[in-house]
Amino acid sequence: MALITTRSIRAALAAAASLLGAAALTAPAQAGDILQQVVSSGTLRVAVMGSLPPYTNLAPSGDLEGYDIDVAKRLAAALGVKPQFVIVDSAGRVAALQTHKADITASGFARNVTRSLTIAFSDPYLIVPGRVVVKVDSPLKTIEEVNDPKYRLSLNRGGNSEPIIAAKFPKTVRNLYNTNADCLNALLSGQVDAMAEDAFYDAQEIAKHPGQLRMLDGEYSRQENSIGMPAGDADWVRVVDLFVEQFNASGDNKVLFKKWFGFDPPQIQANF
Amino acid sequence: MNYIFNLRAITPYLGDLASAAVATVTVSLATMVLSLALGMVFAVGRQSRHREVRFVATAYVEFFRNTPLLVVLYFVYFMIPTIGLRLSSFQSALVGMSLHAGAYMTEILRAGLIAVPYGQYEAGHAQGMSRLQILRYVVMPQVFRTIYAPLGNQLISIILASSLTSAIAVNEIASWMQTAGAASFRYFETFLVAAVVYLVLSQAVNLMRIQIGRKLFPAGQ
Repeated sequence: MALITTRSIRAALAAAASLLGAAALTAPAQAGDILQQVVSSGTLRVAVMGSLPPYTNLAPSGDLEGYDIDVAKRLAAALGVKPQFVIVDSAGRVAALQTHKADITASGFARNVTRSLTIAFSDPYLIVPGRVVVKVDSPLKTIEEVNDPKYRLSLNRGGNSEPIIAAKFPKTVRNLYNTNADCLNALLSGQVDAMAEDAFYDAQEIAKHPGQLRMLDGEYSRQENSIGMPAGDADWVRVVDLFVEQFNASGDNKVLFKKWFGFDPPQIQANF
Repeated sequence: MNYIFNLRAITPYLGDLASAAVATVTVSLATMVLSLALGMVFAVGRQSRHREVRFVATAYVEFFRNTPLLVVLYFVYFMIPTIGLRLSSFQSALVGMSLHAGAYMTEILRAGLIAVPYGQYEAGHAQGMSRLQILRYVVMPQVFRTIYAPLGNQLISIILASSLTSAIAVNEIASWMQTAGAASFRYFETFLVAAVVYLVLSQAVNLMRIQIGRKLFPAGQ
């Protein structure tokens, strides 16, 4: 009888060992010059999320559209290659770069130092303020008032806002959801009192729900959206950075942003 | 440059993993108890002499066996508050998971009930026992012996299914895995650690079930 126990422990250990082996294999063997590969293959592989309107969205026709999609198309055009989109989820954007399944990701991708330890980021092409949305009948006026244990706040699990909110409003009850849509549903159904999100997403949803939602005064973050790249190819980063710099300086970026959001983008240069 | 797998990079997040594992265990154990209770009620209901009772029990089983748990969780968490009853994330998870697992428990227990020969009921009657007494003292002990092995699968599937409750803001292991992965961009490491924790929890429950089984149903009796 004791045999069964030993056997199942042994089986569990074997399973764990095989998992470790599989994980080690996911680290790619290929250590290539990405720039070279993009140019010679004539394709730019772009990892994007399928549903993050107006940044990225899968249209009923099956085509991807959105601001970030247009940014990636401009980069491909500047390089003289064809974009090839790979639809992934939030975690998949990073994994696709780490395993060299994509050459870039452009999909509401915020840069910070911790994240840059495993992948590379371009210069920012969009600055996104973090804002808090409440229902119109809420007693809340400014974002500072949210820092109270009697308020529950919805935010994206794994989003850039999460650590910032935890540091700025430590007393708030933080409820984490997998998608923007769930954060909004939680607010609308009364599961939370406020929602912390990207200000552009907020503005869009306030317009879609007339008379139901409003934004609190104040911003909690300044998120720098960038193009993500695999780490290790400095030449590739150099080319993408040059593209971003000229895309910003030429005013192309501003025109593209206005097309998708309907208003002018915030200034990219930080204001100290 | 190749991706350098580095488990040490996620050590700052391990404190949160402990509380996440507690949440997984709590919601899973509570679901096991509640779903077993629901299963017993509905399994007996499915064997009822009354058509209406059989209909309700069958409808319950078919509804919850044929709807994804995620949909049930969303419904309980996001829809029920709109009619004025707000359940917390944990309560919603417990209700959704118990209703879902209860349907499977019903079928497992029903199989056990069918396996008890009709003569056993007659014997109980002949002793002057009431229906409840027959169930309690004659039928159920035999049912549990029959279903003890398939029950193990269901208990493990409850633990694994609890990973879906992160969708309704329960901070359990799957939630930790996404959060820590996104903070560090070390998804491979956090996913692997989460998989190992699930494996250990599932095996722990399985070993406990085997040990309890030996006490309850000693071999050769």
